[in-house]
Amino acid sequence: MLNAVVIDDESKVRETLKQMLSIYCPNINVIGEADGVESGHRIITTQNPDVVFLDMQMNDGNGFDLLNKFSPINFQLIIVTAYQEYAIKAFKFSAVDYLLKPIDPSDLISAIEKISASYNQTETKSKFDALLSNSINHESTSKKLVLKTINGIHVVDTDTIIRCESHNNTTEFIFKDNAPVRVSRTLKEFEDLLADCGFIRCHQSHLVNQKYIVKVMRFPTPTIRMTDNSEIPVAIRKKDLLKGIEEKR
Amino acid sequence: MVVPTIQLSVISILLAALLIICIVTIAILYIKYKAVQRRNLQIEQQLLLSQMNPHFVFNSLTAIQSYIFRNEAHLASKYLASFAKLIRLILENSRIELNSLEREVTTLKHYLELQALRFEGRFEHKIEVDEQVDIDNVQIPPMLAQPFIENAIEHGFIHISEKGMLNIRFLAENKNCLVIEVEDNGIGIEKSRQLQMEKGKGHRSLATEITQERIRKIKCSKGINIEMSIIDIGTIDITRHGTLVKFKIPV
Repeated sequence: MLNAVVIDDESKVRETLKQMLSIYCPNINVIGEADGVESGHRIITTQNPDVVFLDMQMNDGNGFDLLNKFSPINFQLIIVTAYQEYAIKAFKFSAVDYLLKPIDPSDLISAIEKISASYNQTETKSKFDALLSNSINHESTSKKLVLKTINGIHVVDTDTIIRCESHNNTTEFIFKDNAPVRVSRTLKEFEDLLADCGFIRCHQSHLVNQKYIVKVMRFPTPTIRMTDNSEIPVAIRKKDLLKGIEEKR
Repeated sequence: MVVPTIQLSVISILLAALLIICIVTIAILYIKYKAVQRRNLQIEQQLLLSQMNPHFVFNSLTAIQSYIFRNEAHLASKYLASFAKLIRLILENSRIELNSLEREVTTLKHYLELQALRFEGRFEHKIEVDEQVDIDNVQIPPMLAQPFIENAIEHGFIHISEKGMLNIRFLAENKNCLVIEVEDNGIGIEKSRQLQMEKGKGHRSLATEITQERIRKIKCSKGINIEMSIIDIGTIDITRHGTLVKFKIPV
């Protein structure tokens, strides 16, 4: 049995979530609710719940304002949000789970299953540290990216990634200083995420950080040389990208 | 035969100059026209987004979901139908510049019904239409007051002790002028701005901005001169609080 609190400024939304939890997640016991940042902070400190369902946009502030009051975060968090583009991007960077309103019962069940299966305090802490740092610098091009592997999680600065390479459905990250990391997510997901951080998809299997391009070669085939001395092929239909890169340099 | 040649060349130079001036003028006008078009499109998109605010859309749907889980099929379908009608009207509104007052009142009714569902118990509302107003024939720009109604509901009624009251009135000032009033007993626009500032959100009133742009646009395209005023009720009567937004529309 896990004790949970629900924080959302709209009573109807709290009601729906409580009803869904009682139907689909019998192992969750809702012990309290709150309608804002202040009351949410109070209820978490007094009730000490295992799980917090948190709405991102509330009347007296947003979910990040509330999370910032806790250090370290010693509860499991499930973010529930209607819509907020930059926030959703921040969740993806930090590999934090979130639910979209109206909530799909199967999404709710799988989010609860994930929580019940594993609770690793250090991992949770690093994910939220990354999330908060990204939420503060949500306009900066350098972000903290959380990579989940079988051995645990890695929090990396997007600025230190030289390039990403896809192998089947996994993606390998090559860094400036650290050993490569391989995660079981597709390159496409990272292409979308890293587009604003100066990364370009020059080839079906390659995503490169423009910052680390050393040289652009056109002959015999279009190729980019990176600072790690790798030579990355450029797809014929992406040749126009090279012009853009050369002009910027 | 020297003189005519000179004349000819003078004429051709003049003609060439004229041609260049014409081309340049047309080019400038075209660029300006394109810029105006782009700006208008932007205003339209902003307007649509302010009426179909994602936060409003998805939270309304979540509120409807609560009736489904409570097995109140009748209420769930009632609100769902209301939601569908509202979205349909808003989509239709986005294509027209003027709307009959009758449709406007219907749109607002659906909108307020859903907002009241989301914020159950936070406020009561009333829509009044003056008997002298010809509701079928009066044409007004659609949802002009909506951004202010949204502000009143979502930001105005917090931090007040009594129940929120929202009054929307359509009044005939005289035969040629319709007045729309949106009055609430919330904390008042001045205080609301202050609170937003304190929260560190450099507050710019999106409602005011969008509406002023829109009024400007309507003046250009239809020649209708709409006057808007926003009054913090506390500044006229210190015993009361709230905001009064007023539009005067020639009809």
